Amino acid sequence: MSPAPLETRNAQAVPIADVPDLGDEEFRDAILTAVSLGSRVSALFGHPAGEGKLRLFCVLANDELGSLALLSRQVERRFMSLANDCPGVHLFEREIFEQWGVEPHGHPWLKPVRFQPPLVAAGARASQIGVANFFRVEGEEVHEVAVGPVHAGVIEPGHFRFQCHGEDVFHLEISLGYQHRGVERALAGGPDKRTIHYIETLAGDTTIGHAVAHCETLEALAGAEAPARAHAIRGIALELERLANHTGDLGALANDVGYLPTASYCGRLRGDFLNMTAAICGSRFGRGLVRPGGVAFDVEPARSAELQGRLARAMRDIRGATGLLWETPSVMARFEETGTVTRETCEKLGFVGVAARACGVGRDARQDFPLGMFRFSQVPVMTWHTGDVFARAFVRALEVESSGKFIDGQLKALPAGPVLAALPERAPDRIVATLVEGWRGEVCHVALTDERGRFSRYKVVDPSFHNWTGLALALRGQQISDFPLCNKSFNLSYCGHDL
Amino acid sequence: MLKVFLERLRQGYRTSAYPLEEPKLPDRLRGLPVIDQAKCASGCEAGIESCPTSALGMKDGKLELDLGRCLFCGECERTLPDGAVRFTPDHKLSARRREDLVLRGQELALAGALEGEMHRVLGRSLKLRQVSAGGCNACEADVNVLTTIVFDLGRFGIQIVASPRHADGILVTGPVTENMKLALEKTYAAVPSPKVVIAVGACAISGGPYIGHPEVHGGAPSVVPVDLFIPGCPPHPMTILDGLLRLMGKIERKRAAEVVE
Amino acid sequence: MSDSTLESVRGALIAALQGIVLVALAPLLNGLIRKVKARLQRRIGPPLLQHYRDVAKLFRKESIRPSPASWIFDAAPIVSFATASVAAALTPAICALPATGQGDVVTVIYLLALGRFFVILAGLDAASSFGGLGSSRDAAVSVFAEPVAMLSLAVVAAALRTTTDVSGISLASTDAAVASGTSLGLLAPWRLLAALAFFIVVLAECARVPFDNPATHLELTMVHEAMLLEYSGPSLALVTLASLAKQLVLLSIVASGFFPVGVATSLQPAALLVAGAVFVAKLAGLAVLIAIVESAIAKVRFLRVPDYLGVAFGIALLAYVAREAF
Repeated sequence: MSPAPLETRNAQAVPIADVPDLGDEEFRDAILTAVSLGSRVSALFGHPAGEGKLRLFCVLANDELGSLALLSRQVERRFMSLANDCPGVHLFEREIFEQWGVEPHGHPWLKPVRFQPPLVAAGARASQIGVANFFRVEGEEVHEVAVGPVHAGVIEPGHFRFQCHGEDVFHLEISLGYQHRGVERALAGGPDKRTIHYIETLAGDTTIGHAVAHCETLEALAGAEAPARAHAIRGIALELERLANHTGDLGALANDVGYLPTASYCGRLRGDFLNMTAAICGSRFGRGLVRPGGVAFDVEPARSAELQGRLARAMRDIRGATGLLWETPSVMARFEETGTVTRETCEKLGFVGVAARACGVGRDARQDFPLGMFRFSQVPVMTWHTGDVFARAFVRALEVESSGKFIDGQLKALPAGPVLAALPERAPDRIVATLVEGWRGEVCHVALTDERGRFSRYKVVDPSFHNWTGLALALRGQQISDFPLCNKSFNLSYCGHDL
Repeated sequence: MLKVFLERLRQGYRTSAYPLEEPKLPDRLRGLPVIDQAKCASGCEAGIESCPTSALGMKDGKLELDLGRCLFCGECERTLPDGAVRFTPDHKLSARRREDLVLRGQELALAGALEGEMHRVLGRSLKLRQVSAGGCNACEADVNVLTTIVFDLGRFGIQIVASPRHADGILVTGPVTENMKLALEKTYAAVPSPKVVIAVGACAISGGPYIGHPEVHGGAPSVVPVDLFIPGCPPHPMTILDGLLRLMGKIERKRAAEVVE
Repeated sequence: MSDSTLESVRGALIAALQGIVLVALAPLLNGLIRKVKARLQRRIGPPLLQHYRDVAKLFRKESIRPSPASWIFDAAPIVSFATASVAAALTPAICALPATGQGDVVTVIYLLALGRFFVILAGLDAASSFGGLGSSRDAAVSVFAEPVAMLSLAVVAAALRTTTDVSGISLASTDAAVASGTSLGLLAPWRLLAALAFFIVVLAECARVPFDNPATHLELTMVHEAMLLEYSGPSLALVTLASLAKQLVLLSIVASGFFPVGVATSLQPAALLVAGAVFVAKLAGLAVLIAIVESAIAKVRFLRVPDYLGVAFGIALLAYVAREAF
């Protein structure tokens, strides 16, 4: 009888030795069975196991039960790919190939992910970026349009290759890697004085999301808990981040269809939300706020009252601004039935966050794997069923409402006590997986410690890693001029993918 | 359409009056750091060590802080003897030369306008192409916000354009990853002269948190000649605006902002 | 020299002067549209004279040629500027007396079309996919816009009965024409409908919302600007001035062709000055109208553009019926 995957919970450190080491078939079967029973793969990555072997770790998340399962296997040069049966792992397997040179045999789309140097040997060469075997459609009037890396205004770089017939898009291929800075390589051996700064800047607009995941991981490894007041402030900061980014996205969507009223109001409102975060910690993006053991800044009663007032005004304004969108036929004509992703695609490929909830899949780590304040204060999960640009915009508007209520509730009832606690030593030889619902979707950090309690491996999975494929699929059969709109409706992180 | 106008009346927000008025900044903002050399007569090693990017150093017995490497995280303020380094909410941080960013307790030499021919050509109309060379999206977001109604970059004659051929300069963010080096070089070459390069953020000036990584090139200066440095991680939009206005000569090279036109 | 020759020379000089003045005013008109749009968004917006500064700067910048470009790339800015300037000289603005040679709107429309033809070719010439995309879209817009423009102009010209010669459509401002444009004649249903149809064409031809977003930075959604992405320096300045002049020419047809009230009926300087003032006021009103329209609706998906222009054609047809029936 093969050992079962190790059942664990969110942000719970367990000994690495307890994670079962399965054989080829067992590993495959365990994952496929779990997926068929409603789990999904949150992380699948490699870690050197000595003697030329690579140990593959898999983190399975079950939203219904709120539990995580860990399993592993050892591979040498190649292994049987799972991508054909479980499409959600396709990018993870490509990443393993790129980082470690271990081939997932039978993978239908084995191409570079980040064009990065392998993690195996120092100074190893990377393949040249942008030079890949792009999928082509041949035909009389078919033409290819290549966009990027430098593209469309003030935005991160990425390469998009369209196969078009006139204005119709047959196929879109997305090639990233331009933002690769070597974060995962640098995180190993930590934590040191730079670690928290890597975490805060690996996806600069999800500073709080990643920082909370990181600090929960460290606290789990130390077997300690941050004070309640710190959890409340972390929750407030996380939701303010959500508010600011969703507001910005709604404004940008309005801008992309040329609807100026909402675009300009939201532009200003996003600044208002960012300034609220800055009122707490001095940085509009929340840099320097979340630290291991709690938070570095307190919200005293006078500040809390002021924030409540600003929040109330901003919530009234955002309601008015987004209300205009739904009532303008020319805007709705652009949003509805554009860039549709079916629920089936979403579940097969394991999308997370807003993109999933817009297809009717009620996946939200605040509800399914609650940490911090979300164990005590529930935020309702917002979904819509059509999977188009409108759905993704509408879900954002709904989430803005519920985040606003959550923040207001927390500000009115901040628990007493300190905001920062000293952490004891981290436990050695542990593995911990932490899921936090960032504003795009599920952030997953998996840390393995060595015998001294330092990170031997630190894996970061940004929600964008799951969702970029969604954008590529959403463009099929669409107009090429709708690409900016679809892109903005997903608004995925380039640097979160590239690390 | 009636709703649109009613909403507009209700929203009623005005563009900030900067630079005629001082901007309203958060009280906890970590802006320009001020060094008090006297407080660092002894025992500063721990504080210097605590800086994540090694922006602090000791030279000729004096404490030095390199704003180009500084992440404005405030760690040194906590670990150094009380008051040796103090972050003030002053948002004016831009400089024209890299060496001007190294503070030793002297006043920061703020950026002055472009000289001669460049000023005559670009002083009243500056079109910029933004290039993100590995940026984390925070600097990009704060550049983007300058075009919104609160900051309204357009009223100064500054505009963000889509094509480098329409531009007068490039605005670089990010530490210049290996994968973006060629794109940055090509974009710079596609801009017609006279042109300027503006480096926004610690990453673009020196590499920021990624200093020393083999995957990045340590900021824009290693690839293109830079005319304006705007430190921060990310710099507050007012800092970026202040830097751009100084470059165009719309603010004099004094500590107190005096509008030229 | 005979009186008529003197008259012709004087007329020609006035036309030439008009051309120069209108081209010089064109950037200010667009500046006004941008300013009103900005104010509607509660922002200050770029200064009214910013376009002049931008164009002046462009003349002092280097011109970079993309390597695949041919003579078309260099010729297009000059041709489009030249045709737009001549069109500005010939368009009915402050007067359209036969002596000046003005008023023949067919010539004006097709001069602009010639300029556009070269720019479309130039968009393809640089061998970039965005240029090609923009060119094909711009050509498509013109195919649908032209019949609407011609029909609405024909309705107005027929109503003015200024020519028995069926080979030309002239909006020359004879006494009869002006008389038909005063008092209630100005609000005749056929006139309003025809003007509305032509106004929709103006929005399409001048790349305004809902057909195109002049402020967009998204290459994949551009129609007009996509063809200009490869231009820099003086060439860019010329081609920018040409499209600004085109916008003013088309709006002047609306202002003085469709609503010829206040148009000068003689070449007396006093009359011309008064007509000039009225003309500027009408243009300003149209600029504000464009800004309001752009601020209230969204840009349509490109494939819907023919639908909108089809509606405009229907309106023009209605105008014809209204004119014939009443």
